[in-house]
This record gives sequence, C-alpha cells and structure tokens, in this order.
Amino acid sequence: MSEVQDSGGEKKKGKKIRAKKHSTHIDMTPMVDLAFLLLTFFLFTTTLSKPKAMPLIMPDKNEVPDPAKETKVDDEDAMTIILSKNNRVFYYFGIKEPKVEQASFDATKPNSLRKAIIEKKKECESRLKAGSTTNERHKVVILIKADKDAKYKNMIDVLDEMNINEVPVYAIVDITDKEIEMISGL
Amino acid sequence: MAKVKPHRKKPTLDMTPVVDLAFLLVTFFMLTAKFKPDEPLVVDSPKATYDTPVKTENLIEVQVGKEKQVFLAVDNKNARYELINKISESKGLNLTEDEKKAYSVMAAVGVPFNQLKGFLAASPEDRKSIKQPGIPTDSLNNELKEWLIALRFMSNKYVYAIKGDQNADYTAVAQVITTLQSKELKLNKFNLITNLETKK
Repeated sequence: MSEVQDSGGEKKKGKKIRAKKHSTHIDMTPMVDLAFLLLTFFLFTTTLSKPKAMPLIMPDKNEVPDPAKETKVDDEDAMTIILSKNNRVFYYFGIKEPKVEQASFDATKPNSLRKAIIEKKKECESRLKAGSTTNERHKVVILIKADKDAKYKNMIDVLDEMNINEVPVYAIVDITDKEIEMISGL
Repeated sequence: MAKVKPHRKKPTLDMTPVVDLAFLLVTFFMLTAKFKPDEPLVVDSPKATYDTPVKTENLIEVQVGKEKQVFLAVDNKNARYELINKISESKGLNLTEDEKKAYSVMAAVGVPFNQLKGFLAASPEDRKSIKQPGIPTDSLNNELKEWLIALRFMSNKYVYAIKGDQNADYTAVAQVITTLQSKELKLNKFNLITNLETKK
C-alpha cells in the first residue's frame, strides 16, 4: 500500500498526501455472540429455586417425664391425624370415643383436612370464649401419627397444613396398635 | 442533468450498549453463580408453603432417597476433611491421604463403613458408576449416628437438616429423626427441606 501511495505522490505533485481515513468502527457481532453465549450458560447453570426450610422442633425423648410440667390435653381439644398408604389421611376428635373419618388433602373437596382443622379450631375458640374450659390456655392440640406405609410427602403436607391454619400446638407421635386396628377396616 | 444519487449508507447499528449490557449480565451471573455440586442422590423435595431460606453455611444435610437410602452431605470442604479423618481413626479404616482428599471433594456420600475404603480408592470416574447403597440407620447398626457424633464433637455451630424425597417412606425419615434425637446426639431442633409452593 505504501508503495502505491509513493508512486502516486510523484505524479501529482503539490497535492497534499493524505492518509486514508479509516472509520473507527469495529464489528462487534462476534463479541456480542460470545457475551450472549456466556450469558445463556450462566443463566442455565445457576440454581434459581433455592431450597426452603421447615423448622421442626421435636419433644425431647430422653428427658425424664415430669408430671408437674406435662401439658395435659383435654379430651375435647384433641384432634388426631393418621396418615396411611396411598395418600390416605384419617382424623378423629377426642380420645375417649374416637370416631375415625377419612379426609382429603385437596382443600377444594368437601371432606378436606383443612376444613376439619378450621372447624375444630373454631369450636375450641368458641368454647374458650364461652368459658366452659377451665384452663384458659387451651386451644386445639393436633397429634400427627403415621403408619408404616405413609409417605414422607404426606407428613410434609400435614405439617404444612399446621402452618397454613396456624395451629398453635401440634406434635408428631408414634402410632398405637389400637389406631392401626381402627383404620385397617377403612 | 446528472442524476442525484442518494448517498448510500450501510445500515449499521451501534452495538456498544448491547455489548455493555450483555457483559454486565455475564459478570452478574458469573459472580452470583454457585455451581450445583455433583449430587449422587437425586432428591425430589416435597412442596410446602414455608418460605424461610436454608442457610447453607455449616449445614449438615441428611438426605433420604426414594429407596430409603440415606446420604450425608456436609457443607464445608474443610469440615468434610476433618470428619473423614476422625472416622478413619475411630473406625480403623486406615485411609490414605488421597482417599481422605477424595472424600473432602464429594458433596454427599452414602456408603457404609466397610465399603468406604474401596469406594474412596476408586477413580472419580469409577466412583460415579458405583451405586451407593446408603448409610445404615437401623437400630442394630446405626452408622449415621456415628457420623453425626463425630460431627457433633467437631463443632457446635452446625445446623442440621433432613432432605427427604417426597416419595420416600415416612418410616425411613422417622428413623433419621430417631437417630437425631438419640441420647448421644440430642438434636431436637432441625429443619426439613422443602420447595416453595404458592399458597393454596
């Protein structure tokens, strides 16, 4: 290139030789390509859904039971939820004369577990207002029991119901033989 | 008369802002990205409405898989090294330095003590093809308890969590809970890991 310019300069004397002005533009397309490639890569590799935690506090099993400290549950405040195979869930109220009923996890169904919990909660609250219970602290107490065929998902679902319905006192308790017998026929 | 030729201009677009934006996003994702460690156990956690995020620092995760296999995942690499050192000593496994290092780079491990040496001695590629049977948790041979006791002696700052698969049997999870609550460990407060679900 310089040679050509030299020869050209000899012919046209007097005229100023001007260096050809190149535009300062760079083709950015490959750069953009690369940038977006990296962008997509990082978009796909980042974990967007961070796991959440459900805190669970279990009663201390090793503690020697102290009758003075033990909370006594009134028969009319208690509700027991039993989990079984094939996502079945049962519940009964009270302790003395249990009448087991089957419920559904689906909140839209008429026999949903949520409805039963809400109704029990209301019932306990109205009793508290009427002053028929001697102990003012008493509210609904839910015992959760799972038999050997229950799935972990069901347990989480029930614990979640406790959170949704703001159940103040609930506990996971081992299932008794009597209860296994009660639900076996259903 | 000469025809007036319109001055032809290339339809160029100034890409500079696009590049700026793209690189800004790249930098953002690069800095925030935390790569998913290679998890040997696929756990499909159940959905719940709880929305407290898990603090991943000092997290000890007991994973329960679909087939009841129990895996132990310790968050910190240094903690993992210290743990395997302790286990190797207390169980007389005679692990070499390389084998201990191999353990410290793995996210979750579910191998009984008697298979641990062979598993860690294998090459990383071979290790992937080995199906890990899970840590025994039954009351006669509760190896999970020994792992957790070793961790308990190491530090008090650990947060314990159970990450169960939604299709796992509850009894498998109950066994882990019983282990956590045993009189040697006395862990009555722990977390259950769930995925967020929109409120019903």
